[in-house]
Amino acid sequence: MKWRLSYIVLILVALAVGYVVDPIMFPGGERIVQQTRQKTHTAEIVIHQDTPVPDTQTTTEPEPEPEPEPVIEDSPEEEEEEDPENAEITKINHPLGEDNGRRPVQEQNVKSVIRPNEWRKPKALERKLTNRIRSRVGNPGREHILAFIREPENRLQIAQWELLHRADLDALTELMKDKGTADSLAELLNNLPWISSFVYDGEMEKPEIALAMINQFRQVDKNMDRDILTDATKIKPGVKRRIAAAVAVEFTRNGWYGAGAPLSKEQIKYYKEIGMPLPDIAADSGKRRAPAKDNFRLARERYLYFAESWDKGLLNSSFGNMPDWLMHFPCGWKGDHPMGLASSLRWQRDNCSAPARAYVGMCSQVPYLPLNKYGDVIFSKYYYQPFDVIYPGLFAKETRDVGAVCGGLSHYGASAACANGVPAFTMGEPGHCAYAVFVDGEWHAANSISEKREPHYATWGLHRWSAMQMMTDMYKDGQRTRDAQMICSLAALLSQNKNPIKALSLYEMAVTMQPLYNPVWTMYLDTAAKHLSKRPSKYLGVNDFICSSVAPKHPEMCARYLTETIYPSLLTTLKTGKQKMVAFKSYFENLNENEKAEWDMEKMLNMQFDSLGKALPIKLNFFKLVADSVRRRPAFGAALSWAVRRAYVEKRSVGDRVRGMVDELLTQLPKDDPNYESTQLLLKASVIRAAEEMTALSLEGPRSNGRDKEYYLDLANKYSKEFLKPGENNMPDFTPPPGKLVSPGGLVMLDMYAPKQDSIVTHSAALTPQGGAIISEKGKHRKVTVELPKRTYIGGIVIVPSGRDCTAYREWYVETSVDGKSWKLLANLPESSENPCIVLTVEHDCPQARYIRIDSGAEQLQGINFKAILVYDNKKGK
Amino acid sequence: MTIRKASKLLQSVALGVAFAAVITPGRCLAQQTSDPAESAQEPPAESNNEQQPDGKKTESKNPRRPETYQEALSAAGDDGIIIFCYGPDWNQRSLRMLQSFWMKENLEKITGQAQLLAVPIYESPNQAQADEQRRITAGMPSIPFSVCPTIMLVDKDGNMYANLPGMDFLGDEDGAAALNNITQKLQMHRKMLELLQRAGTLQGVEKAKVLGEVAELPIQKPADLLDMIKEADPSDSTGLVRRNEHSALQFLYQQMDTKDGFLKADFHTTLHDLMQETMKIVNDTALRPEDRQAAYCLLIGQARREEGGSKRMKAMIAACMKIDPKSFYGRAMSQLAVLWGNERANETSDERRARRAKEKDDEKKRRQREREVKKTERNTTVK
Repeated sequence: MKWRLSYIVLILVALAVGYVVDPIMFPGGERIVQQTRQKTHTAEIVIHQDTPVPDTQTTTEPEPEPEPEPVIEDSPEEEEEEDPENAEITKINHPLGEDNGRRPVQEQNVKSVIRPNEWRKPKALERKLTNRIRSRVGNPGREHILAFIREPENRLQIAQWELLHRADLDALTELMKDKGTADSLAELLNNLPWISSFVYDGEMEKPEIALAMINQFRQVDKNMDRDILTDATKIKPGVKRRIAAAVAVEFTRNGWYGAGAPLSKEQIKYYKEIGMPLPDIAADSGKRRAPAKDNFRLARERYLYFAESWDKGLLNSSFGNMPDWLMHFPCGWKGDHPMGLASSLRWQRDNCSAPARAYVGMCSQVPYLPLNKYGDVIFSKYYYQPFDVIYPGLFAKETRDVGAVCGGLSHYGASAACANGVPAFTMGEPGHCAYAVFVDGEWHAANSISEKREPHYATWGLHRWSAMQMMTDMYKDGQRTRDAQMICSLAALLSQNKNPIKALSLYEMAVTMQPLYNPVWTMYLDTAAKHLSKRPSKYLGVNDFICSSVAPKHPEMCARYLTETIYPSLLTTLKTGKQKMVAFKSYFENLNENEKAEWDMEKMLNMQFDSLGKALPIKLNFFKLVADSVRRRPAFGAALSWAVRRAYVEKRSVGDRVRGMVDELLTQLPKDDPNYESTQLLLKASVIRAAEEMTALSLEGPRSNGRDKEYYLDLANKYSKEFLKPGENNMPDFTPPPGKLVSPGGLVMLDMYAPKQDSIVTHSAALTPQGGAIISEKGKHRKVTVELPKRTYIGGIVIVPSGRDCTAYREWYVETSVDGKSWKLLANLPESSENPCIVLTVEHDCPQARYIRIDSGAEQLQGINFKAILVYDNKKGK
Repeated sequence: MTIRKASKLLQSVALGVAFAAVITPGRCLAQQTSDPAESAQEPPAESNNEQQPDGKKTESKNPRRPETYQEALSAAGDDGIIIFCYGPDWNQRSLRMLQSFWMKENLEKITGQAQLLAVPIYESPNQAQADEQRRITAGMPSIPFSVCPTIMLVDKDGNMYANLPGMDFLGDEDGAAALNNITQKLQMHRKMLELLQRAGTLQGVEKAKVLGEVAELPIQKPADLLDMIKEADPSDSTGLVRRNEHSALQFLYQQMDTKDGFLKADFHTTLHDLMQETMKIVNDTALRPEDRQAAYCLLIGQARREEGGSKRMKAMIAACMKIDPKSFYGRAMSQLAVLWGNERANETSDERRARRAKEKDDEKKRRQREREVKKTERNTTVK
């Protein structure tokens, strides 16, 4: 007996030696060794984060811990540590230090005190966790809280509570009824790295549905916990579990858990190869989308696609080591789009595999063809229909072979990246579709024509490029973000238990720790609005903190925070305009000089301006503040444009002063600036554009007055020619109609501006014989209207089109009007001509008109673009 | 007793250590298999070539496996160069193919006298790797879209005549399909060289016919091939000029009166308008069957769009399929008659009413516009 015992002891010793001698060879071994050396008594309970947990774990658990002690109401001593009313918001130094805080989150696992069968009663479990955490958190002092959340056991319980807190507990109870399901899911839910990623990396909604999905994934893939590939390489294990979490979270939050698609032959082959049971829908239905008989089919297919691809080593090698939040992009790629079908992804994986940076140009594989061979346009259902039979389930391949326009090109490029495990998403731009690919730690826009981008991937419910950038920066600060998220959960827990002051203190801690974590601001400010007295100094502190921590790199998101959450509370507490100006100044002073932001900042500026009341000096001060900040940060030329627009609706005295300020700014830019010329042009363009648009608007409205137009014409005359590119206004030779030229000094109005192509500032030059440039937006019945300086009899018009289509006039027609409302047809232009200049002469019955309008009539590919529109009068016609 | 105890102890230690080695899976696997990027840099056991994926050389040099593109080009004969592109730091499949297919000796036997060059395409190269990649690829034609694995076939003058990107062309990782494709392309290239040589000895129509054979080969042809055919047969008596000059897309855009492919919103054409020009293409047997079918597609689409065109459309579909049922369009046609033929029949009464109202409205607008045009044309002149 003794010998046997000694054998066992020796074997165990040898085992330990086996792990210790070469820890690097064993995934996570290094950490285990360290743990063993430091804390031998805890070594046996430390399990590496993603090492598959054996089923026996559940049986070897210790006796359940005694029920938590009854909840003790917080004593006054505990609260005296923090007084959020008096606390100043300052940035907390992270306990791990700056460098450590930037490392990716590496949660180590800990044995859970929650037994698997406890998950079968989620309501009771939530209560238990609430009580347990509440009793353990104790003093909410900063140091104490930081120490508390650093304990893996506490982190696990906070993540578990957060999941239960967000779940529909009735539905979760229903799901967990089955013992097998509960046991299977409990193994994941008791695993700290997995659950914290599931809850916090991404936007977990309806976790009960996501867990039901994951349960299905585990049923069809018995090897989910075994990484065939990672066992053989140095990639951190647990990839398939992470895939499951990413797919489930994304498919749940997007509602892609209904209709599915039939299985492809390759997929059936794969099922058989790895011994999985075949799903119940027949694979030979021949349709791209099967009816919604089988829930989660799409999600299951997506999971199997990535699991299979990973096991076989067919994805980009970086996929395995990708942070979990990034994994959500490829795993959550458009589940409701034909290009998101597993069969289509498989084709792109096999045929479009490229280094990450190459996906930026991958869309060029698809020919840009608005018409198919049947003469059907891309926007009709007939475009792909004839070819569907050749490409069942292979929409990406069909797109490459048949063609597409911007949307198809961008989906193809993004889908190719995602199919190979490289994060990408599509996004809308004005009149266009583009996409972005994650390369070398940054999002790179592809097939993009504008900086006004709306990602199709929602970040915190926002389809904003700036939100995406901010989220990316936030996750780069991995450890700090996760700590802030944990603290935020803790705050929500305390807030739920009617302990708002503690909760507020914790929210404050979370925002200071990670100001880029968007959801916590809303929670913090909501709680603050309810429970904080309206002390201006407190809100000013919050305002300053947001401005200093968010505005430099994320001005649009900062403006959103301010206008949506801070200003509604702050502006009511501040009594004087001077106090408000201090708050506003904080934003402008923190803007980063190099930031290029193209977003609608008018909402914030209007809100700030309107709150200042009616006093003239303070209003002028605000305009001055805007002008000064633009002088230092020319990328914010849009603010100047706002100032010009706003001046139009203010009293004459304000308007004139603002214009004077703008003139001064344009003429007194610092000349030592290396970008002096481009800055000057940028600002002038902003001003002239605003002036022309406002003039055109005011002429149509009841506030028509001469001074608006005078101001615009003054600007246009001064600066218009500076914006002409060399050769842009080369005028052809032509014989003008008899009569006097009357168009100079007129005003050009477009029914739709083309901000990307049309500089607007050269419009007025287009009414002179020197020529300028007018570029309208493409589309049907585009109109370019010229308001003449005075009403006159029209004797002739010279139209000089520009662009590569300048000799084809299509079905344009010219109309005249006296009042700008009722129009009379003057002439139809020829279909096309060799002459790039149209001279239109009115022989008799010259119409009297103040307005001339050119209508493009039919659909135009490039809009109607002009170098000149010259109008001549005819005294005889009178 | 003590000796026995000690010997037992030693035995158990040995047993334990051995046991630990067996049941430490991570360690054992790690020892057996290493990082693919690293393992790819070791020469395979069965290969005696000296070309390493990282560009390093061993002592013996195989003249068929040069190190750089420039070396390959200078040594290239009529079979040119075969280039295998792989991603050492990101694409494991191409690394496996490098071992299972590219490094095999039998590749050299099957590929004639072609030079075999392996080119690494790094995702995140360090300075040394970037320099190495530049050194290997200097002067090489660019790899379309950097897809890996890709096999490119380049002639002795450095012109790419075939590109086999991705698994549609390369098949499985064992490389059987890839080998088959390479062999085919090589043979076609040889045939092309032979035909071009023969054409050089001929004149007129005979020369044009031989050049026409070259044009049919599914590899990249010389850029001036069409000019050579035109020169040999200026009157196009063989129809080869038409055959090789015709562009289905260009024809479509001409007929639909578009610029850059966009239709005008109120563009109106009829089957009658399109028929004459299109049928010329359809009936021109000198053209490729696929081009003739593409032209037919235009008529079929127009017939579908026109009221009462269903019957004609079905007849056209049948006729179009007859030209070449196995071609891309032929296969696409197979279900088109069913798909489009019964479309109007499946229309609900509301849909029919809405469609007719829209057609009526369009017609009304068109007439009104015509009236306005006539009225204004009287008093203006436009030059």
